[in-house]
Amino acid sequence: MSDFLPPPGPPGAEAAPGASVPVIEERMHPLSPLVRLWIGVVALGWYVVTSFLQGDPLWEDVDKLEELLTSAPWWVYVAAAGVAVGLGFGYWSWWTNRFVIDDREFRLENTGAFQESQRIAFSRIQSVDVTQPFAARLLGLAQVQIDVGAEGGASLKYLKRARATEIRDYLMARAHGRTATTAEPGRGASAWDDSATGDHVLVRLTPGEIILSAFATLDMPLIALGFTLPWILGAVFDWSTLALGGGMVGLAFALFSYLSKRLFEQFNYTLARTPAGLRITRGLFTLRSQTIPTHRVQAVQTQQPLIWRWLGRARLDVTILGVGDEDSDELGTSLIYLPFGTPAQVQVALAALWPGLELDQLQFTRTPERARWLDPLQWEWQGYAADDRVLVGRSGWLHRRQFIVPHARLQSVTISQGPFERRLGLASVLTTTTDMFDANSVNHLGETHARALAFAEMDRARTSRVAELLDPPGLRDAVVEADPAGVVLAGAPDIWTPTTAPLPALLPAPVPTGSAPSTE
Amino acid sequence: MQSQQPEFTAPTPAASPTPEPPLAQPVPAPLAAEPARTPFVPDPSLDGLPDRAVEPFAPPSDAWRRVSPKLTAVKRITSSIWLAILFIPASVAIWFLVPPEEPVRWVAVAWLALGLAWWLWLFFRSRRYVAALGWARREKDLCVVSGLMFRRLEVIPFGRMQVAKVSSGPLMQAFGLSTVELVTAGASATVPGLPSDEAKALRDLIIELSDAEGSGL
Repeated sequence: MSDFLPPPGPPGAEAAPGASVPVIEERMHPLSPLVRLWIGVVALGWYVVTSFLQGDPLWEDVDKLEELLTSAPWWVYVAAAGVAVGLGFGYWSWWTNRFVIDDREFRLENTGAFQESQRIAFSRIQSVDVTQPFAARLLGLAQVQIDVGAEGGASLKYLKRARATEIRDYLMARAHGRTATTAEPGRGASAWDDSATGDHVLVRLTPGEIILSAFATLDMPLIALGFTLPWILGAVFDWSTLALGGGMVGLAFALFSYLSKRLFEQFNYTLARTPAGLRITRGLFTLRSQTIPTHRVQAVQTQQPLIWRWLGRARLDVTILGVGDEDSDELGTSLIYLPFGTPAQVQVALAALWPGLELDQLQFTRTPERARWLDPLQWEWQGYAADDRVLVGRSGWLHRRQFIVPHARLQSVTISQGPFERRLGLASVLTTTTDMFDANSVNHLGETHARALAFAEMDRARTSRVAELLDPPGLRDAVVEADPAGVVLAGAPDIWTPTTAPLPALLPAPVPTGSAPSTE
Repeated sequence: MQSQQPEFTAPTPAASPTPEPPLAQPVPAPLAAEPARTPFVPDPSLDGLPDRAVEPFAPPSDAWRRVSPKLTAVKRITSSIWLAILFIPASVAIWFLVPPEEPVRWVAVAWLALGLAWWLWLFFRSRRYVAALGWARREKDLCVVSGLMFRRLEVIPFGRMQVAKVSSGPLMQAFGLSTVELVTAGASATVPGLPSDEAKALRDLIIELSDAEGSGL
């Protein structure tokens, strides 16, 4: 950060005259070091409590403490020493660290062995998230994560839950250039939720839906099969169970990571429009409240595993520029945006990113009939659509995917053609954004069509980029406080219709539709 | 497939910043009979464009600017070096170390034959491969075409440039060639084997146009 600013004077000295913005200067919550070390503290406490409960040392013979201590196993001493040292350092850093919020910036001051002062100007703040890790959540604490879209963010571990949301809301308001006070009434998270009176909830998923989403995929039966198959084989062929145990550990890890990603982290999912932006709150153990910077969304992908197709549901993943790797609810660099949504919820979630976008109103272009030689099974679904804001492409057979890329985020386009495609006169168009999904190409279009699409897409990308430069969305979307969707939730929009079905004539068709597609 | 004859007299790219006619959608002469086998919903933006009217890898402007044919020699030498490293020593070693009565000895011959076949394939392929490489400017985009069996046409806006690189290894230097790379936040395009002055001119063109357009992310 900038080192040339004067050192912080007494509180309030830096504030511009006339501006009655109070300077906040606080330490973290005193319980923070305990929360950081919670596993050690809990383990040690557990040992002490259980050894008393088992009746080994009775409460009366406290005078035999010395004997008691010598009889304790060596690892207890190691653990106790570790915890004590950890707590010592923890409290030292708790005492020496403070955060300061004055009229123009956020500062993290360390006055310990190293004198450090990290400054984040309000204008650099991209988003501020509140996370409640499990241990902190039990104690009513929360963590504030300040994201600057690059290296050099800061996190406040830990504050009281209400204080954390206050700080978050204040920083977000200042980041958007609004003056605010830290005492906005009616706001504040609970242990279960992070909603407030001003929020407009767009999508809320019930626990049943989340559980259904985790178990109604082919991943789950496969993991279950992985568990049972070795036992069956072992019983049949009389293998040693020891050899099987090694595989079991790996499978258990796989199962746990799957469940934690799909079930625990998505629990209590709520997508809401708040004054500070689009916010996702979710988590069974760790409650994470995340603000989505909509103007940094690079691409969106809808996914439908086979069983979800029968249920009419889909998952939305999103890649966001600069949103990092530390969060565990990520697949690669992408983030689960909507874990399990009906068509209406998908529409609402997409409209929250791009107001007015309606997937069911897009006119999809299918690949030519001869592409069936290459895609006999996925041809029904394959195709693309483009409106003035986004390009949408579909691919996949059992597991249907659909990418949505805003023209303004497009980095480049590639036309490719392999030997079989050349024989059939087909070509594929690959789109590139900064963070990509695997399915990012429109496959097997007619050659000329592909070329025209690629070049037209580049022109559309340039147009929307220029439009965006003239009217930067970063500030604009923060100001939008009205209902972004304008989408009526009643009735299910028909967004999963395969592109082969006769499309409704929404646009005046320039070419006679006599050559309507036949589902042959 | 080799409809473009390589033009080895590459025009100087310094002349290329002059505005070229917009060729976003080359409109060909209308074909007499459009095959009725492509009944798909037409994209309104492609109105009136027959499905197979334009060769998909045709240059977006007047012609592809081809890379230097000297790149063929570089490619041949490179594959020869790989042959000498990967195939010949292993084959010779196996042939002389394994006693003659062992049938394993013939692995050496097979390995060498494989290497030679691969080398011959590359040797005769490289001239056409180099001839198929080219770049062109489409208003504010850089277009790079490459590949014989798997053909690619990359379209990258100059404005998306993050880094423009000119590099040249020892072998390329011996032939006076350089490789230009346009790196964006998403993908990157490489034009290998340009004559060094042309490579520098292309790099300058990229930088100049990206300054005019600039929006990296």
